[in-house]
Amino acid sequence: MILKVFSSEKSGSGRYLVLPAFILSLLVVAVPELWSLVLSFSRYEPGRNIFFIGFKNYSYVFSDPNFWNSFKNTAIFVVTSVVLQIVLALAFTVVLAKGFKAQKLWVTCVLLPYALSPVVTVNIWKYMIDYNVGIISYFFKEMGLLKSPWLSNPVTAMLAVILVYTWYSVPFSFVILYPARISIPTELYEAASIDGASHWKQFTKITMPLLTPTLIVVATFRLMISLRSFGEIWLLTKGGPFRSTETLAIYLYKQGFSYWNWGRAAAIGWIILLVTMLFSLPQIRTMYTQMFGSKKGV
Amino acid sequence: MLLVVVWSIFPIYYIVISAFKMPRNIFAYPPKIFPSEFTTVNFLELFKNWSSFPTALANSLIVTLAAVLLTVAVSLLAGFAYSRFSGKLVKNSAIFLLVIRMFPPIIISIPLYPVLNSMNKTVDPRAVLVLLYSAFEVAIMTWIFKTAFDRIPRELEEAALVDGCTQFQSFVRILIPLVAPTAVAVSILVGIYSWNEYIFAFLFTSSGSQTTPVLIAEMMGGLTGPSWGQVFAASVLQMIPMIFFLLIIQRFIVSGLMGGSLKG
Repeated sequence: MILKVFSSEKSGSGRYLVLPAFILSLLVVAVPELWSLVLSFSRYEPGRNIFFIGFKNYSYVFSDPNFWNSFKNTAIFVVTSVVLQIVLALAFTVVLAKGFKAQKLWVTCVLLPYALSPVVTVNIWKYMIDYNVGIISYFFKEMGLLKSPWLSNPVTAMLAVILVYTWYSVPFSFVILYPARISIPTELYEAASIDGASHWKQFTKITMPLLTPTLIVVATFRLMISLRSFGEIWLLTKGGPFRSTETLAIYLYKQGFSYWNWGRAAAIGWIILLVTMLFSLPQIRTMYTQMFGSKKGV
Repeated sequence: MLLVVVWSIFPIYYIVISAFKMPRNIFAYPPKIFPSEFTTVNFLELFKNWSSFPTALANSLIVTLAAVLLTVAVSLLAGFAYSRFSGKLVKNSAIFLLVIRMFPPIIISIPLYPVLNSMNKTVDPRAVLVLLYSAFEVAIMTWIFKTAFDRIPRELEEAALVDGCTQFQSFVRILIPLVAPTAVAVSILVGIYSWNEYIFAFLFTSSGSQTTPVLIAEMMGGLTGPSWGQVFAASVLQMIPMIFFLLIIQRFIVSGLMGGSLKG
């Protein structure tokens, strides 16, 4: 009798419980997305009618040097900050994995930036790198390294943006790397120590190989997320100076909300989406098999 | 180790301290890390000059609470369904949710903006935010709930059914209490996201309905020297609740959430 109840699982009515989630995403995300696809093939400015113009938006975008500039900036920004994030998160993980008194306190410290809004983060950092009164600028000036305000120089502006975003994002990577690291049995490390392996050897031969799958997942994930970051950069530099920190997301925003050309902005949006998809597909596949691969004892 | 802590904490410490600095000390050069004088004048000025600040806080609160409720409700149900059932509907909607998660939020803003702008009189922008936040968070949270439900052996439900419960009763009386900790963690995660979110709030709200991050950003925009103290005060106020909640669930984040699903 019990078996009968649960054999109806396959076609049970419980599966309709996924519907609210599905409908919510559908309406709020998918439908506007499709509409934006239509938009990307049209010319649409507020107050005027829409009309279909084929691929003109796309060809404009691809021939716009500003697009390629923002593409380049995005690449620099994303790759550099993701590498930094992961290196730092990995370093923190290794340091904290040693175990300290009040361990929880230190872990909490590392996680703190997670609680902040991009606005607050930018506030803090803007104050710290302010040319006149900022504490970071103070140190650099004392060392004779800083000649002009961080945000006025294209190179240092990009550095600043990368730095702020990295600071903000390290907790995300840490949250995934740290549990993975502490799930490695300590016996492995103990055995290696007994065999006379140095810390560095232990790191390269034990930690790194075992963490590599996780690292790949984290890297993919963070690449995806960094690609779409808007608030942090916008609030810091608005894409300046001279568009040197203008990423694709900001480029899109400007096309859509400064120039009010929504057809073009929609086209850019779809380009960003396609690029994102390139990174994400392997991840989607992995997560899908994880969700439905093995039911019991995952 | 010290570097780790300093890196993470110093900026936060700095802004809290600075919020309490006398305005002239904010612009002191060389900058003071350990100010000798403290004051609350920045906070007072904040409330005096920006009377919409409490409103912004309230808006943030409303939006956050609603988004949390909606997301938890929807993803709890969906997580349960993904855990216990199979079939085409389940599989297809799972792919759908995973794909949605990959979407950059900003490209949603383009199609939505004209629609929402014209509806601004009739639709409360805060409701829009609630829907948006929930839609984006549901994908991840569903997955978290599914993992949580997976860990509960079905024998518990079967035992309840033998004892005479209906399937609904077994769900409510047994399963829900068991995933309560997960629900708390999910609530806090969604809460932090909604409270801190900037892009959508920036694009879709107007004066009366702004959330706090948007208002603080506005305060930064018109910056002449003297307002910085107030910006810090506002930032500190915005930040404190989230830090508090983060402290509550930090243990859960590290041990439970990610570790189980990403076996290294």
